[in-house]
Amino acid sequence: MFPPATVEPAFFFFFFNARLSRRSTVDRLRVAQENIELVPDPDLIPETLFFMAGKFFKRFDRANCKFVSNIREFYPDD
Amino acid sequence: MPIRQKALSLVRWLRAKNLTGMEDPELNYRNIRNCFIGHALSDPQHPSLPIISSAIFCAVADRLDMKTSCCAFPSHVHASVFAPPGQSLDGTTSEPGVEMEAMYLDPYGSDEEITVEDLRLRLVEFGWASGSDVFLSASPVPVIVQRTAQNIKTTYARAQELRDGDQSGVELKRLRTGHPEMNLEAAFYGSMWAQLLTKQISNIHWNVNLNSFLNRFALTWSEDAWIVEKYLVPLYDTFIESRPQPRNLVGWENVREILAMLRNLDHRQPTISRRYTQDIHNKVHHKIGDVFRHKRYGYVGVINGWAATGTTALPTPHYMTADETEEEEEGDGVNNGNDNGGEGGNPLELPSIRSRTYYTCL
Repeated sequence: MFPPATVEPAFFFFFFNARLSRRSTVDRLRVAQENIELVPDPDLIPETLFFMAGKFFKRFDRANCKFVSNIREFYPDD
Repeated sequence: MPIRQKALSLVRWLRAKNLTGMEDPELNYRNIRNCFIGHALSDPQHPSLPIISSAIFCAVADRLDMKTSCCAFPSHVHASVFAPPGQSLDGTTSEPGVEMEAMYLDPYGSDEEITVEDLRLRLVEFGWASGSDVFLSASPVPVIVQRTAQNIKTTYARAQELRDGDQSGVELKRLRTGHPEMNLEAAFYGSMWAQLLTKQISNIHWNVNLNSFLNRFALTWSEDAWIVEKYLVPLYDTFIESRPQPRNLVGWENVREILAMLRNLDHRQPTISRRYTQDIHNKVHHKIGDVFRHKRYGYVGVINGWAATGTTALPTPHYMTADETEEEEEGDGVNNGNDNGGEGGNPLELPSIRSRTYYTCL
């Protein structure tokens, strides 16, 4: 099973939307809204996330316990 | 000083200064830091595998005008030291045409010379009765590089076997700086590179790791496309041409095809997700950058993507855990009915995957 270069990228993604047995260093994990519970306390954030955050975020806003988006070209209203 | 004395003095000095070997090998042997010569040299404890200890010895000995080489002995790399031309190791003059005399050392584990008889005996124990001289001669650098890569892979494999949170993994993965998991991924990826770059292109098994390398490259390290183009493509082309029946490899075995695919992806217009409508506002409760805990699995994540309905508009590639997959396939609600956003209607009705709101997260 492989995606030849000539096919639509969608096939490629289908191939790549793999199923993981555990959470590792993956940087896009799917989660349903019902399973989300906001965390207001910065001290509960594992160190790992700060190592990985630079790919998507500019910095951490400690006062609001949010990461500041660096992907505004994809989500301009967030 | 005769070479034999000089070599023994050096190995004893290195060991007395704790510059080779490691403490508690039964606990520490596979620690990833033991695979890196830079780490071994600068770490206060200087832990290293036999292969790295031997390389350190050889590097210092070469600077002291000794002719040395690592020797890829099975399971434990040694260092060999050669007599200068026309001389024996003990400084006497040797007959011209006599084969260069060599001695063996184990900078990792011993202050003493290792005799060739000892080594031969050990080879017999390993089951090598004949043709063993290859293990006793100087190993070319690419062989040593590949063997170091193999050591990295072994540590990586061991780390994969650990359960999340297993304390024995802390030392296994720890390097001086950086995130342990990410360091390990990078080391593993680097070891794949090393094997592709140093293995003989005439070896019919050259491409044995190509599939998994290309997979990992495309998925996690696509910013390396230019290095693949510059260094791997020429090797790949030579390999293809040198095969008895030249034929193109396909898909994940074909470097050019994977590069072309990445270029196609790169040229795609970015998908922009806006919150134009009230419906989207109602459905998507959280924003990029929000920190959350997973209600069932407890992990803490950061939102880095969303799709108002279903999963098709989520950024790709993305993943789901096996648990999450089962949940979806079972149609297990997880939903308590309070959270289904713009669904309206009967609050107990469980939304289908297509109408639920999804996010991706770090």
